[in-house]
Amino acid sequence: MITIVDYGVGNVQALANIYKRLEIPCVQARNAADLAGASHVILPGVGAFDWAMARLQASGMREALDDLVQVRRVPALGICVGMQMMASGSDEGQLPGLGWFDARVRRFDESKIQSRTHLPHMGWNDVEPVRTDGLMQELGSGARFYFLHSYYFAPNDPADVLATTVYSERFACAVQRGNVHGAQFHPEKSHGWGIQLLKNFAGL
Amino acid sequence: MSPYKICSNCVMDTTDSRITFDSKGVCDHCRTFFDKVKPHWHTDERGERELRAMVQEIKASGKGKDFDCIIGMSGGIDSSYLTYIATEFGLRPLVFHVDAGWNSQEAVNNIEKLIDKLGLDLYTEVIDWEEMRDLQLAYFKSGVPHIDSPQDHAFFATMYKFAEQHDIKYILTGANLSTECIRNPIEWMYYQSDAIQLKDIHARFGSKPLVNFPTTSILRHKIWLPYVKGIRVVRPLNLVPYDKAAAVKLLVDKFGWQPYPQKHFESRFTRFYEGYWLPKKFGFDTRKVQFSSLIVTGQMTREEALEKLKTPALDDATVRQEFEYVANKLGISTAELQSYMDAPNKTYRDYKSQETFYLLGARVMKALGLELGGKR
Repeated sequence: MITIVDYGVGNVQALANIYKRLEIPCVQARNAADLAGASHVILPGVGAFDWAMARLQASGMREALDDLVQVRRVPALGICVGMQMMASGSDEGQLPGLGWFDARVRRFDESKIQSRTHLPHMGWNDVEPVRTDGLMQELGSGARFYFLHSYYFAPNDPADVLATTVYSERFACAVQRGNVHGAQFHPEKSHGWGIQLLKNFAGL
Repeated sequence: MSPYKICSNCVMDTTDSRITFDSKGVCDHCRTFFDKVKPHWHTDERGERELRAMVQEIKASGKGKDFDCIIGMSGGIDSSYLTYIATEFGLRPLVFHVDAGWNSQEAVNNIEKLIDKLGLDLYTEVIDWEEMRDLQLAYFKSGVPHIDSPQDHAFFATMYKFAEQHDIKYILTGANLSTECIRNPIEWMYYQSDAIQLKDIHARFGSKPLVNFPTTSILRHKIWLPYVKGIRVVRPLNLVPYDKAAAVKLLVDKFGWQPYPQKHFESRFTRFYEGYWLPKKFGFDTRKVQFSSLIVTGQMTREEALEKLKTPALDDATVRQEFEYVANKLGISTAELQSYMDAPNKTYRDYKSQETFYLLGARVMKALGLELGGKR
């Protein structure tokens, strides 16, 4: 069963609504026991890095998640700050991340951004796929997704990059390492393309 | 056509074809304000008392819930100041932003700064861009002046839907008398909430079905939501002193808020539409309405307004740049966009509408004292 981690951070309901429309069963997990039957796990997230990490820690689900993703290797998808939490750490905070990727989260260099005011990066933007299978299948070349963030995910291994977006510089907007996936954009806010991506994830 | 005439008190003129003047040359907008609005508008202790009572009710309605009210936030001055005032009075708003795809960088910055510094939750609802684009193009093709309706309609429809779904009883809006006591005439900007008109224009000129685009209807938000679901829309800014310049200064100093040059310019589409399209194609300059509101409320002199009106809202270079940006974003050539500019002008009367309903509703509201000035 697709299981959305509900640790009080991120828009769990919007994701659940999409799976309901797709008629794909999904549940929400609020404690470690709820994670037991997970075949796929989604980690949403909004807000500041440390706050989200602290909330996840406080939810009591951290160990069960590590086990699911690192040992049992079920497909995992981190969204926005949920993706960023999968790195080893972030410029935004002090707490260590989950470390599921060899990556660090960095702040955009505002001096490189053309417009008068800079951050956050908010709105629709082009997503250029590096790979067109798995999570990124059937999205086509003109895919656009909705973003809302000031920090970006910087993987150390270029092979982890699934898709890129340009905002002042090109950054990895979707990543994958084995069973672990991350999307900086919000599929749950991106209508047709987002629904396709969530459908792809369910099929992994 | 009657000869050109401008009000002796404000800057409304005969570009509003239904304007009338009294023997002293004062227009009906000013008369309505001084006779019908001002005597009932209290921003002193009386207003504060009313606001405190309203705040108590809002708090009571939200007991045990995460939020007690919703604020629709555009990043503009009215909704930003409202958010600040609401938190000053101890309310726990869910700040709701509808992204129709045209946010200016100022809007984005302002939303982020306020949310961050006030420690509030932001909920962003994103309109399906493919449908939005199709609908906006349909409005351009229709030739009507009120081509900003898709954005406005989506904002309100989404907010009502959200309030209903999450059982939040109070919607706080930044609508206010201080900067909006004189309203755009119906001829300039027809009721954006008229779903019949929106659907008719889309049926005639759209190219794909509207599946995700949120719609509302006058029956839904004037009767069903308030009287059946008990969801109330309130306007707190009418109960406090709201001086636009002072509010801007406060937000800049306190939050790093960024001012933008003209009301409604927080949306890049509205900037193009009110700053260029509407005055150029129809001769309707919404600054006249905005400045007149500031004049009758003592925030601008008539001389200052007349001076500002001498130059267009957007300079030629900006217009060229924005023309290209808008065409590009809508996926059409600049020549195609120009062809809509050059096509014959139409009015809301050329399409299906619920005008009679709205006029009836407005008369009832005025008779009950629920609406003081309103559109005409």
